[in-house]
Amino acid sequence: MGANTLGKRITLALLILALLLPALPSSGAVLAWGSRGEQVALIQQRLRQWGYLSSEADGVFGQATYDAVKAFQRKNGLTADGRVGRATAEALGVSLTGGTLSADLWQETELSLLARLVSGEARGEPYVGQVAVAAVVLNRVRHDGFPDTISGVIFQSGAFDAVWDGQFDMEPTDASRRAARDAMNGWDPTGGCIYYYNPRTATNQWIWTRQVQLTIGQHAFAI
Amino acid sequence: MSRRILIPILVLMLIASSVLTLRQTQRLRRAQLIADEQALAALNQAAEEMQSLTLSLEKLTLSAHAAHQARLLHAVALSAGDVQQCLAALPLEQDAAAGAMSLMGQLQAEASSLLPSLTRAALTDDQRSALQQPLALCSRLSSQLSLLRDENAPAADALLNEDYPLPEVRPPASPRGLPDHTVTREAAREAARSLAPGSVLSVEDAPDASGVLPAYGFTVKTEDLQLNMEITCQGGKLLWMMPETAGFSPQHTAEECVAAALAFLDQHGFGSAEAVYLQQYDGLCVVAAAPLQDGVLLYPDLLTVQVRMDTLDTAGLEARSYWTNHTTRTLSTPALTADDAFSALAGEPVRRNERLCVIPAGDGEALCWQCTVEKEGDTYLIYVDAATGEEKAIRKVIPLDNGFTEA
Repeated sequence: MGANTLGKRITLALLILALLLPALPSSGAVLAWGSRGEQVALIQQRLRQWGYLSSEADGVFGQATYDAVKAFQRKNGLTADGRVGRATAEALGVSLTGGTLSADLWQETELSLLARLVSGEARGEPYVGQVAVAAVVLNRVRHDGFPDTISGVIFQSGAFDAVWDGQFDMEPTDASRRAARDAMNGWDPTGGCIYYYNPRTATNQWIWTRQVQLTIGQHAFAI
Repeated sequence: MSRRILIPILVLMLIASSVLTLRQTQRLRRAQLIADEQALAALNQAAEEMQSLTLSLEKLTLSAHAAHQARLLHAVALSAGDVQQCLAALPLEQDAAAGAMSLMGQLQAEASSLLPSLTRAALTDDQRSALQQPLALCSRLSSQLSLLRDENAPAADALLNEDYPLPEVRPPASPRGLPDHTVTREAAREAARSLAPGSVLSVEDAPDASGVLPAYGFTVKTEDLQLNMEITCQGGKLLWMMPETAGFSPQHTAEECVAAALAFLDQHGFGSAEAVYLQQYDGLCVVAAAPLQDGVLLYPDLLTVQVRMDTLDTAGLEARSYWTNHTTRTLSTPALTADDAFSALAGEPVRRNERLCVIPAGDGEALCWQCTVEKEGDTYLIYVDAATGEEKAIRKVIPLDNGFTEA
């Protein structure tokens, strides 16, 4: 092999290796005791609005804010660690990268969470299947064996793959937003199901013991 | 670019890539550590709250004073909610903690239902005796959670999969609104065809649903729409319908859409109804309508209609509540007038739109007076039992960017 050819191959190999840059996770800002600034003030305003915090929104994350965040987290099915990460920020209706979500109303925040879940779990499924996924979440909220808030159900440990594999963080599709709205307005193609799984990929033996009520697209919906 | 420049650049990029990979690995490890720490924090909190809850229940079996019992019940409810949330944060197999979570949910509900009675009298001996069983279950759960904090404890899934009683599942009521006879798939197909607006190109089978209201599934294609719908096996009625796509261009007002929705309901056998809330999204006007009987709103029979804002065609319907609950009620003459019913409202607010309605109440229904009041810029609907004067519910009207709803 000539020197030129070898050199070209080395160059190509280095180029390929270098271009395999890992996808970096986002910096994942977290606000905690000691943090200061506008984001802290915004969080304090929300906590005051919902009665968790009585002190002023001074932009300083101290004891009172820590206690208020923990109380909010407990109430909403989040890990009560007193730190405002992605999940808590979404539940509060605040973006940690700046600005706020589109509406400061509680229902819009729940809708956003539900739409993300639908998009992450059922993107590409028939529309009825997307509504069905949203309906399963709402059925769980009403069921005694699950947390009693939408955020609590969605963030329950190990409940939905999309929450843990990054699909949940992607911008929801228009169809998934509409599916979430339709489910919140009462549409439930599953007739009360609280589980669903993909029969082709499900490895959990327990889920196969659930009684299937219907199958839509890739998902079997069960009670 | 010459090799002398390119190769060093590529080497630098490779080094940078390796450094970034290492940092990402460290971040992932740290994230896993944080997740482990959070799970441990949730376990510790659950164990502590469970001890507190069990202690409150023990004291409740001894307490004889209503005010103190109320404080203890309130503590039970708060702790039960906290334990439930902490259990949800544990990395468990599905259903491993469902029994324990249900127990917490039941305790919350039980505490909430007992609290109002304490304004009149302390708990009776029977009520206190009834606390023994949940106390025993809570003691057991408290021991299990405390044990889990031990490094040598068995896996949480194995430990928590105890036989905590899940809520009794009442057999579903027969749908009151459906005719008794069953229909064939072909008859259901024709019903589906007749419900679609405009010229129908095809009606294809879709997944059927079993369960409480078995139904045939269909996909109906018209010239400009694909509709998904289910027709009930019993009676051949439309259970639900929704368009596969939306994004219609609004050409009509919300008022026109409401009129179209109500006309659709009347024309398809649902009778007269009144719009109670609406939203607009993706070119659809979504109208929730309560059927009327002699001017009385029947909220348990609620129907939701989606109307295309470009053509006023009905593209969606949700009728499960209607078919489950609808019947001709025997409505008694209210024992109280509206003035009597609302005479005790705090602050004597200005009332408007007073009328009778039927609302879900516990396991049944209640005939109530409904009125609308304004307070500090917010609008509320208040429901008072027309027979007893008991305040049954207060709903806040929540304006949204695209309509309004209640909570």
